[in-house]
Amino acid sequence: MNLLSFEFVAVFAAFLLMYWLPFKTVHLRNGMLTVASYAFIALFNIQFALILLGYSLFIYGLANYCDRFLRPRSIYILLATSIVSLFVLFKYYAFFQESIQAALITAGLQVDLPILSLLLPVGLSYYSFHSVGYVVSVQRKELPKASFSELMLYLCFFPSIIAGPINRASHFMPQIQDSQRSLLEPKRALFLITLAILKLFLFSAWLAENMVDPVFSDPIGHSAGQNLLAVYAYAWNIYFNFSGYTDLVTGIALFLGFRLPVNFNAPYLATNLKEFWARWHISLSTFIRDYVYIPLGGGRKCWIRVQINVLIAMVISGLWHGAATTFVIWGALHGLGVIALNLKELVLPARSSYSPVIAFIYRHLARLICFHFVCLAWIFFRSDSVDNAVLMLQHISNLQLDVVFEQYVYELLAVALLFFSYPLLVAFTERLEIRSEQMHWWYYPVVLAVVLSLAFSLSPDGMPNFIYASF
Amino acid sequence: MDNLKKLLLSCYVFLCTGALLIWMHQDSLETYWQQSYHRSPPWKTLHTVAVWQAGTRVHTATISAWNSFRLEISGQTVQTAVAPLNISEQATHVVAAQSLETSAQIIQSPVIEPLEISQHVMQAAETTALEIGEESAQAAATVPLEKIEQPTNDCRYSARATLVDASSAESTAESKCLETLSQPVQFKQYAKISAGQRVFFAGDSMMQGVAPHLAVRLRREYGLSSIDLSRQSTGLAYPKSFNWPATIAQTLEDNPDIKLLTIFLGPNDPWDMPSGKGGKYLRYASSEWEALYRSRIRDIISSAQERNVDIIWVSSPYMRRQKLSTQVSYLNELYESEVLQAGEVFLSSNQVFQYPEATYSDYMGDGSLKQKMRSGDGIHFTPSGQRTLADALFDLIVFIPDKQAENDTQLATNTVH
Repeated sequence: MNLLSFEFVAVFAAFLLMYWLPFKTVHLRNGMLTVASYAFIALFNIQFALILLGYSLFIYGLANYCDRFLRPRSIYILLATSIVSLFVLFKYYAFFQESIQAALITAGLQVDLPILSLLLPVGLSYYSFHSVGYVVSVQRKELPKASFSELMLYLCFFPSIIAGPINRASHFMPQIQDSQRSLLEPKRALFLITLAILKLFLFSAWLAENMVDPVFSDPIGHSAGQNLLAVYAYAWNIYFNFSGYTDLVTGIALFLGFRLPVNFNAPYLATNLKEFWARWHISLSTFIRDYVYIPLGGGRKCWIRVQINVLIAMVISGLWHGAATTFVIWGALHGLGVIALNLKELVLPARSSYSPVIAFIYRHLARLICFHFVCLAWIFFRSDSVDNAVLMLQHISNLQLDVVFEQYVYELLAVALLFFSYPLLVAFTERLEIRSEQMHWWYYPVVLAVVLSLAFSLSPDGMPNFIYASF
Repeated sequence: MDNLKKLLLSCYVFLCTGALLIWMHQDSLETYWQQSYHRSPPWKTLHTVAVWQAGTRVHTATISAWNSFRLEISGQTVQTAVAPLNISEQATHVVAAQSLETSAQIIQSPVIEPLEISQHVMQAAETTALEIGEESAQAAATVPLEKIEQPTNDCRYSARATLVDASSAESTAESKCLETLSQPVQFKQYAKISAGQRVFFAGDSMMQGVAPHLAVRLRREYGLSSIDLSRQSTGLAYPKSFNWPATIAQTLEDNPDIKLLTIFLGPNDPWDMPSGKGGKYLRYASSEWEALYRSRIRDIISSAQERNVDIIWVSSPYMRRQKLSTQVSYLNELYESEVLQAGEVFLSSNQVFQYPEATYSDYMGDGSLKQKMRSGDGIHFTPSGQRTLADALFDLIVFIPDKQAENDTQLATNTVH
């Protein structure tokens, strides 16, 4: 069931009424939420629900019982092996099988690797990462051991199972166990859901349909200017899509009495790549930092080793999105970008103070460079193949500025306007959020209905997809 | 604020916002409801209430205002409030034409001399004609008698359709059907296209995946441009949601340089559908349903044939879900009989993927390729599957470099009377 569908809204509203009946204990609510989450997953495929149940049992045994006879290090190895095995089996096998098969044929070896027709279980990429947080927190004694029902809910919580954000056990488990649960900030929740619909239905879907999809599926069939505009458009398309999804599930979770972690913080305000990763998909970047980069040695090793760790962490981050060379290149590009930044800081350390004018110019120039580097990496992230990404880059590199300005002056002005007014738009949205909480309840639905109606009227037909749900 | 108060106020917002949205978007939601549940929505009974009808007018006025604003801003004259069938919006999908020379430069491949092109093309044409000729002969040999006699049945169904749905378009289709019965049917074995002409892609999300691959190949190898209006969740069953016969007719009218229509749809259609007159829905696969559905297929074929546009109709492959697989197989039979009766080209995607009878596979049915062809949902294709189907379609298209060559190749065209 799509979280944006008519059916979901109706079922969710009915569920809320039952969920907030005045029960004496929180266990009943947790139970209802667990059943609803499993039903939500089973609607995709009942096997997905069974796999999640089996995985929850495994994690429960590993975290709650195996520490009696296994050292934490062995538990971590067992956990990592199980996650990698699941990822290889469900997510990467077809890619490896096809790549290895092709390589063997090139080498003149006729070996038939077995074919596995397995579906990627919904949410595997997210609940497996949730489980890491729980196992590590329990082993480090940061969290008490949870009961099986609490762990089940932590792993299956439906708002964040499709496309995140990645919940940390240390942040989420106490909310499950808290007996004083209440409906949180309903006006803010409604504002976030409305904002999400605007971002998903209107901005993201419009950009995808009109500027991104036609060009990325056939870069050579479009002019160099259209290719350039498609790249800029995709940067905003994926941002509106993913941050819209995050707003939506944050709003839904607030209605259920939960706070999800902040996943976006105006990423295109970043002036360098490190800052970008502190603002973009924050729950994934902090997860990679804490469970990949730091265990590798993090910043505690020599300079070169630190850079290697950065590169490994970024490539793993890319590979998490899917088994494709394009994602690996995307991750590696970000890794190399961070290394280049570290090198620049080593050779030319940033000055502590600039005059206000210089600081202003420096900040906006840095933003512009960072945005363009991110766009360059998006080409690989979005392209169906490396060949298509290279074709697109070649096409853009042949760009004649005067022709492009002549043909697409309004589009380029719109891109520039969006980029430079982005800080104002962020501030405006924040102010709007505060103002929405001050609105009277009686006319709030009218405002929401007018805004939503405009969004639905002006948006392209069809239900927008969640880009990150496929990872 | 206590929890109960917050809950009640939230419910108030949900209810009021929901009611206002349904009021303003009742038409869109009705279409959604029809497509999802194959019956009229619960609020249909309110259609006679003036206050309720005002919602549609508010919505239509908003859209008209927006369209007028857009047209004025873009410097175009406002002629109609709402562009018919949103074709103007979809025209943004038109794949920009690009010369062969430019493409060749960009992909850094050697420029092919005209002589080489014609040799290559003629060779391809001969090969294609030979291969397809054999396939057609086999297909003709295996066509059951009922299929050959289909025209009689079809017209009987059309006569019923006229009783069920008195729309003028469908009556026209019936009369055209009667006309065609008196003429010998010429079966095309491939579609022809010349330089400067365009290919038009129509269909659902299946076509959305295949069209870009074919468009790239057509442009790269023949310098042909194309128009891709394929749109997800569309078919022939719910014209209120998206009217393919009308869209195709309008597009062909607006673009006389289109020479080939490639159409690929079906999986969104195997449901009960509105009769077009209101009242109860026609039961899926009933004789009335089939008659109405066939008339829509014929409308598309007639639109193309009136403008001398060749058609390649692609059938849906077997699906992972057995029920859907059986349903699309039934639709494929309808497409096949209508398309072959009209003498156009029909491509069976089950044959392309070498699927044995009624057997779905993620991979090639004969195990010849180890690449996954179908996506996780058991309906759509992976990029490899899309390319495979695009290549099969490409093989059915013969490029005639100029008009003179087209006349010459007329002699080489095999026709079956």
